[in-house]
Amino acid sequence: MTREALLAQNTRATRIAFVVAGGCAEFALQPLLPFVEWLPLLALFLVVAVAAVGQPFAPPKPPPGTAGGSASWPLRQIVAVVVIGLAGAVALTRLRPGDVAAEGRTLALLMLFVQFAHALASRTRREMALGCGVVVPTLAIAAVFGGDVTLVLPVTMSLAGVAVTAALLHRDVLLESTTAVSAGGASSTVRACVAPLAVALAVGALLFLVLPDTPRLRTHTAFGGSAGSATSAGDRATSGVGAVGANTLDLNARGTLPTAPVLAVDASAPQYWQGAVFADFDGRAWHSSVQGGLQLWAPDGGMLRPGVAQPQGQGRTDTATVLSPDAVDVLLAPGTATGYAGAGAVISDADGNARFASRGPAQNTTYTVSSVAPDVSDDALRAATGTDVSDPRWTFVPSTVAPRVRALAAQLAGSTSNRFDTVAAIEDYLKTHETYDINSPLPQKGDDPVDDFLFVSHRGFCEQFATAAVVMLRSVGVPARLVTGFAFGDTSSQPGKRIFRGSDAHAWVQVYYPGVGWVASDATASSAASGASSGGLSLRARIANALKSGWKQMPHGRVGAFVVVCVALALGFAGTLLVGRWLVRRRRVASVGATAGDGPVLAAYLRLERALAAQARARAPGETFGEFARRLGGLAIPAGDVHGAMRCLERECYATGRRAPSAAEVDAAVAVFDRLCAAVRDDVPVVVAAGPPARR
Amino acid sequence: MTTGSLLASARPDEPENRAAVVAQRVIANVERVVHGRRAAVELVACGLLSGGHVLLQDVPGSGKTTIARAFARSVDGAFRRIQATADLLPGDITGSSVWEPDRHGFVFVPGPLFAHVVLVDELNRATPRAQSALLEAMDEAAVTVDGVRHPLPDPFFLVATQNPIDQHGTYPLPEGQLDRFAIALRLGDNDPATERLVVREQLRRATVDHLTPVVGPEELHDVRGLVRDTYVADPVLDYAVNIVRATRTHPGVRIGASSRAALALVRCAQARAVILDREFVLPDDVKLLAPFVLGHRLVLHRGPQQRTAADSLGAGAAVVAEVMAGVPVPVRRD
Repeated sequence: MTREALLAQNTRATRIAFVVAGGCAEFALQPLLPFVEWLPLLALFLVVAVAAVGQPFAPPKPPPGTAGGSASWPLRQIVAVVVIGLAGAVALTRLRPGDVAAEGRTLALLMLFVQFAHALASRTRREMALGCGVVVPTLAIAAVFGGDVTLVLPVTMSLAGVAVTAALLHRDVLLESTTAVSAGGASSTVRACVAPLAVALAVGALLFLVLPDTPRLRTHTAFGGSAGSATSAGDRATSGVGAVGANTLDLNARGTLPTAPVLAVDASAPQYWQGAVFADFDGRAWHSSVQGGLQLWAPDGGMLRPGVAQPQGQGRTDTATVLSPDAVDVLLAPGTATGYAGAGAVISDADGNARFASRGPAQNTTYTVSSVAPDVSDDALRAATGTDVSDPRWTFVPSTVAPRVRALAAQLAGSTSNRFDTVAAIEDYLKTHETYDINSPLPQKGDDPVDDFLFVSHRGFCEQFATAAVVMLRSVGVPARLVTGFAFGDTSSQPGKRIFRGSDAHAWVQVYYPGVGWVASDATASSAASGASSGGLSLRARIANALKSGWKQMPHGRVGAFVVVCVALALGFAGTLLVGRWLVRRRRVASVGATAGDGPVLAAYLRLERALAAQARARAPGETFGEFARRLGGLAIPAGDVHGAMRCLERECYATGRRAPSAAEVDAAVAVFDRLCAAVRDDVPVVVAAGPPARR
Repeated sequence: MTTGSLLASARPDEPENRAAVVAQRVIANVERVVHGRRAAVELVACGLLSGGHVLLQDVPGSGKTTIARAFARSVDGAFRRIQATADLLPGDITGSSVWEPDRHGFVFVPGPLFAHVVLVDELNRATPRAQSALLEAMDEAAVTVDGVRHPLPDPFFLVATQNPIDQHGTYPLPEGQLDRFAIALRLGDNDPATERLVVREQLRRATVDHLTPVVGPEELHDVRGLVRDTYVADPVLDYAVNIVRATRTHPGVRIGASSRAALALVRCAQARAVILDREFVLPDDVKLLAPFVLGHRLVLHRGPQQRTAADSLGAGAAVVAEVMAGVPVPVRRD
């Protein structure tokens, strides 16, 4: 195989590794985007990738001095700019101010395309290496904002790709071409990075301003518009305000989760605020209705429900402010509601359901609610005895539930001796064996959602966890029911207040203990159990929360968001560039030392050495000029010229001032080195033999 | 490492420098009788011009003595040859005081060491006692007999040969002695055509004796002065010192090269620059000479493969080459 072919192969390998890394990143974005939008992006990426792999690495450049100066922007740079512009426009149409996750994905997407375009426009491998670095912040952004555990695999693969590329580039980037910063190299890299980026941003901004503001931009679609991270309380379970008050909870559908605030309560209030109680599960969906004797609570409130057995436990009274513009039709309380004072009338039943008979409190009005929640220790629950609840609804399991679900429940409950331990066993199983995933796949219509969650997808959000827990508990005879409401909320945005947003909607489980009553328990993986503080959140969740709350402080609106995206992009790129330069400079300083006082011939030679480093053919550190001169030559320049120039270089570096080369000799030598340099850039081999091995 | 791997650069056709002229004359003269040994001849010439001494090492009959004698004949001065044997006494080398009845006192009778060029054949056959008699002579160009110091003629150039095989009855040279040789080299094999030429010429007659001297002692003395004045830039000096220092930290080396080795290395590099008609020393000079100047001075950890002195010499040169790969060549003045 000829040297040129080897060279080309090496180059191509580098580029393929690069593209593989990008492809993994593209794959990482797939779950974050609707398929119809992801597909064209994939196609675009494939085109870019094929172009990047196929094109010659450094296309011939007219030597300086000839009339080639007008060939200012090669085709690939134009293509790169167009690609970035298109990608930017697409990404910006996805931009939804206020929707944190979508904005994170937008950032990631944009950076990814910048990277691809960079690959296309790169002239040297070093630039490719820098562009490669963009993958890392891209994926970090996607992972943090997207909050998706499925990103772990593609992120790992992509990082591996980057590592492979870095290994291929290692000699060029870190060892020899480390001298590449001082003269020309850095500025050309900056130009190569910044110029397409700036133009692309300008094009993107223009398209952004010109494109009509379509309705889609303002509405939140069900897919891709969700917020929340794997470990936060945010959960699309019951679909915000409306769903919390809904009578039906369909496990084969997914609700939306607006981030708008719904309710403000005192910060010291419990973290779980209960809304509707669901008793009936038909195998597909939960149903709730106010059962039995309707009991109207007077608007002036304060009265306890007569004729109903008083729930045991700690009673408390809370004041809540309604923030949602839409009326909340279910009475939210930190336990089973026992009294109400506020606008509208409340209908309640023995189950603990409490709904507004007509319109509930309007926005920014306040209501007071009394509630009771059992407050007993674990040991007390273990020892709980007394009359069990007799209503068969609480242990009803639809016949459609798969036998293996029942078998699993029986197996888990088999080794426990009391109800509390049974509940704990099933909860522990769910928390350890299933994964919380806000974007978990929905089962097909007609599939058993519990079976699908427990045995097929292993991924779900709170509805799946709670439903599975209730079904399994009931199948072993434990009375259990599903409760929806809000959980955790946000105590940081407003001092002294706990704000529940639509995204804080949650579903959990209540289990009946004889003599105690309905006790809440949360089977959802990674969600804090009732009473747990946010201190239980993982570091990553806290970082993500901090980022999101910081993001929420930012000015919103389209232009504001665009500015923020641009600044973030610029910062990310500058950071990548700086890190790359820092690496390069650190090596350079360590290996060569100060550049001040270099003679002109040495300066020209060092430029050549830098260029050669990109081909991994630079002089080895232990190689003398004389030895290197014997390897230098090849097709580009007559060997005599090269040797003359090298002699001149030797004299400049090592001879007495008396024997220093004359001005004419210096000029000739500099010209030779510059020509060699140009030849190297054009991929013409100028080194005819391989360097010596590092160690003999 | 054999001398065959020393790639001598193209020599200048018409040297400008007087020292280069002399050096070329000597080399050309030697090459009239020594064929296919250009690198070895240049190395010995480096030793001659730098004022150092040379240790030649190879199997018998490979031309060691011929090279040594050819250099001796090329210098127009006294030439002596010492055949080292186990019963050689120090006095046989340095000379001794004898009773002179006429003067009623002892008179010093100079030994064979008192010559401009001395060839010590099969040095390792001499007893350590006899070998040590050479130490002062090689280092200080003087011998002390009966408390009286007698300076040797100037220039003084010693070429020793050593037989690496047939180690019976030999005394390996102590480190101190080896350190006093500026250059140690092995000759290696000739190619078939050269060997045929050598044999053909030797069939006719012993050609070395027909050589005529091409440089006088005074001229050689002057040339050595010029070599000493050859310019060594700081980076080149640093390079040489760095190589020498690096030998001390190499894992396979028990005792690395000394400061004397660094001095000899730069001195020989100067000589090589002069031979190539260059007024300044290049890192190339240092790099090419380092294995021959430093290799024999290293005391290596004994490996299983090095039993004889020759093996150890080759291993030392290999270690030096290995060390040099890790020492960066300085590319700019500081």
